[in-house]
Amino acid sequence: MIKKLYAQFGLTKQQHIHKLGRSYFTHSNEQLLKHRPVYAGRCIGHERKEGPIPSINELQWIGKNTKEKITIDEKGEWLFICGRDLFGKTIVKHNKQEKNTIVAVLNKHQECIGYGKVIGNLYTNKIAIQRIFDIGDLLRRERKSKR
Amino acid sequence: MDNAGKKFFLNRYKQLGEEIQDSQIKSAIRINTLKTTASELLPRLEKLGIKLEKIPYTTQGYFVKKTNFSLGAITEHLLGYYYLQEAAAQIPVEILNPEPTDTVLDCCAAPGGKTTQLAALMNNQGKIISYELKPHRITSLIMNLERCGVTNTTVFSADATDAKKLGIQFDKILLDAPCSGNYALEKDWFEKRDLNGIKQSSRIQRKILRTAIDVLKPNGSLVYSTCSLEPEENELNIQWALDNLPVHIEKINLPVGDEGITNIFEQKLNDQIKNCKRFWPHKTNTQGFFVARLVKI
Ligand SMILES: C[S@@+](CC[C@H](N)C(=O)[O-])C[C@H]1O[C@@H](n2cnc3c(N)ncnc32)[C@H](O)[C@@H]1O
Repeated sequence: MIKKLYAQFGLTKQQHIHKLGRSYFTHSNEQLLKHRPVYAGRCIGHERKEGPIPSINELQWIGKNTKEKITIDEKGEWLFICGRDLFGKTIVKHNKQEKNTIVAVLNKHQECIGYGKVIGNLYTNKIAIQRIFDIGDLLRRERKSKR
Repeated sequence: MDNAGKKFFLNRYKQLGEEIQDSQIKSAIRINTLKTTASELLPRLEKLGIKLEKIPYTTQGYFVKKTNFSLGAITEHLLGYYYLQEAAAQIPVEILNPEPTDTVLDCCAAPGGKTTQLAALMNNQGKIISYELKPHRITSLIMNLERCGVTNTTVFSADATDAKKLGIQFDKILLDAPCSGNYALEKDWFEKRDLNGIKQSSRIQRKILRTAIDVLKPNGSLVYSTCSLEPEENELNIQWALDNLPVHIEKINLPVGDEGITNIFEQKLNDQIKNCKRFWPHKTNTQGFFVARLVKI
């Protein structure tokens, strides 16, 4: 369930959620819901085999509100949105570094570009953050489905 | 290679008064004002080495003059700050010019270029109701709406003619019709198309157009567009609408594109059809395109 997603970051949100197909929405037009739309109102996320993922807007909300976040450099950003894990040395700022914490990953503009799990020491030449979700995911999925 | 198809179509274009020459479509983006502004985004893209040039006839469009990487794969795109949208394709929504208070029907929506543009012009206010018939095109539609932060839209995975069931009279309607496409967009287009296919497209377009006019408020406007150059899908459909539906055709003021053609294969059409716009790729450096603004009487 989508609520699990917020909980991973220590966040909660009171909202009235509709599930349409495999996506979650709020602020839907109630009168139109009876005609069974596939998209209605504000999309907050999608259900995937691996669990729920946030919409881009919701990801920004998470990035802004969670205490558990790291900022990475441009090289790290490029690799991360291509689906790669993060080396410790790409991290330029962090609030939290205990192992197994789920952290929001921000770029230098403080935009949230995904999240991952701390698995190693930050600022080292080794993998420190294991990618869980990044904004390139949707594009890769689309490319795969076109192939 | 069999050149019969190409000869057939080039001969038809000649009869319409056009000698086709080589053309190059310029790729383009549209800034998504739901998420950013030109003054925020342009310097950022410039820093990445992307060279852009304002499209003179759209409000948020830019031609891409130079880029070293795919514009679909960078953070700014993935966060929904812009949409990759060819220049001519940016025109229909600008002509429809929806207001934030409008209820708008978007008949044929996937992959969502024009839906996201409608939402941006309406500042995510009012209501957009979109239809898309083909289930396999719904995923990219949903992803694009979500990426661009569209929140005023309801999408149905259904035939646009189902819009009658909603019992809504719309202020404005966009009918970006399914069509046979054009040679500038698609490799070997001439070999893949024939007149039967074009006539079949025309029948589908008329069916959707009839329903759309039914659910449009009196004095409401409908913008009809195709990326086809074939008169059966364009001027001849508009003539059919003038003959069969309560509409007139309003002039489109744009500094680009030709007037609609009123003499088609020796058939003289209503002079109002001159108010439409036709884009020949070699003249506009865009894809082939046609756009008409119909107002319900
Ligand atoms: C030209 S494309 C639309 C492009 C879209 N407006 C955009 O700007 O991204 C036409 C779309 O109409 C869909 N379509 C075809 N017949 C339809 C019908 N009867 N009702 C609704 N959609 C239909 C096609 O599957 C196709 O996705």
